[in-house]
Amino acid sequence: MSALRLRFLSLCIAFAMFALGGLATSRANAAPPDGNKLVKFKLVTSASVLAPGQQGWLGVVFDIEPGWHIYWRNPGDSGVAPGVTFDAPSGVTIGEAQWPTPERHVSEGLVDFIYTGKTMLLFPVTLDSGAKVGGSLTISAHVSWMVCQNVCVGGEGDGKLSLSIASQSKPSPDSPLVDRFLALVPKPLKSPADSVAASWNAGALILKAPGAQQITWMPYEYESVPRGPVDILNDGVSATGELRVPYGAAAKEEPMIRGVVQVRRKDQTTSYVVEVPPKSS
Amino acid sequence: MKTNHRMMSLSAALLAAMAIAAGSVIAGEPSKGDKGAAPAAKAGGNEASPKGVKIGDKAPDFTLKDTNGKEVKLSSYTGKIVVLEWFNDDCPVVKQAHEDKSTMVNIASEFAPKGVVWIAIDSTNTKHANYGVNKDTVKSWGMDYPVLQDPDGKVGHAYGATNTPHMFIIGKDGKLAYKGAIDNDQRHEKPAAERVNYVKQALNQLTNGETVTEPETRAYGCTVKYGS
Repeated sequence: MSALRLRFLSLCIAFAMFALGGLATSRANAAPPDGNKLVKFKLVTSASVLAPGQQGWLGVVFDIEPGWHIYWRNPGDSGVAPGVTFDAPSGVTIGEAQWPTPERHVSEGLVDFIYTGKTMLLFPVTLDSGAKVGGSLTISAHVSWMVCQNVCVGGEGDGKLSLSIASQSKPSPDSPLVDRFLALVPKPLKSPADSVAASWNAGALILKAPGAQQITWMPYEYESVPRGPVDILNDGVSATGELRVPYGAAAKEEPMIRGVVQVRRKDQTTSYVVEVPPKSS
Repeated sequence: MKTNHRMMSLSAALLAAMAIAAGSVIAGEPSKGDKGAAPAAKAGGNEASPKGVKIGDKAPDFTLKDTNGKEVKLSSYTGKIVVLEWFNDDCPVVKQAHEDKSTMVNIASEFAPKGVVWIAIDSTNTKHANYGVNKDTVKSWGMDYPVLQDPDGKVGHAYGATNTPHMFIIGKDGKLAYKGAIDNDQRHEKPAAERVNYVKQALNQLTNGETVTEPETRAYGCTVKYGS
């Protein structure tokens, strides 16, 4: 083999190795997913014009990339709930977040409460009765989230919106969207009108919904393990009209056990906020 | 992004080139490890209970290698308080715990003079996108404690580590004294007066010879990226 051919061959090998190296490098070095691209958010309001003393809704709409999810107020065994902090001028009162009922998601033995696709966190906004008619005001918000699939990444951003103040409130073009998600926020359980009953017995939460095909319990966030459900993976869902959720020994120290119960009857699924004092009856 | 990933990829490429030279066929690695493991494999092969070690149980011993290949054996710290921090430098919650107020490193260095040993453990499986510890990141976070590699997840499962970060504290008696979250403020929204750093609280109590008042809290963060 001539020296020239040898050199050519070694050049070819070097090139092949370079190309392979490049391929492998780009695979392993693929930029981590961008949490700000996987989730887009925007601020909306139910009313573009709000009258003094009136209440409207602020919404943070999350558009989530297919296959990815963000989390409920109690993210479950993993994840972090999105955070929203508002900056509003005086005379504006923004209340607590209202969370649409999430999906129960089980993966590798861990239970998470998640949102996929599109969701909205809703906040009641009220103007002081002494607010000056004719003006307008700006509300800004800092929004952060953790979005997961096989990996998790964080995202955050700022948004703002303006509200006009007039003697008569006026709905905004986003008002139907706000209404759509308000309808997904569970309402407080009213027994027996809702045909669902919640009680506490022998260290367990008892949920009864006669005729239901499925009952799911989604506890609000809790920090101390002995105060929470013992095994939400196995005790968190029933395939009948009754669900018994045993709680840890320290649950009785809580003034109230809180969460959302989701009841499926035929093709209708409804959710309620449940509050039960953990006292044996 | 990951320097050592790049190094590994280059070595992999070299190996691949050598394999081609030897006439081997390179097949694409199926990414079955990516989407999550079959739970059966986990439950079956685990000596510890599915939920891992319980408060008051003897902490399972282990020997794992750090990022420099140096072996670290838990039982070599017998008689000392040991903190285990489940770690994944790509997890946003781990990042937050290291970047926001250097929470981990600050507590580790506050309690080091009192003889408290701090160890990070990464149980990410080798096929996961988060596999590998970026030494530059670890350095930039000021971590002077070891990050041990547990790619088969044996130690993680033995302890029942489910999240990153998931914190475990072993008392001087070798028994598990704390298991759970770093603090009670996962959304980083609590006013200072309501914020409790559970690890700091437990370490204060243990180093004062007291009982840990809040021994088991709910960990929060990413899942541990176990393989099958």
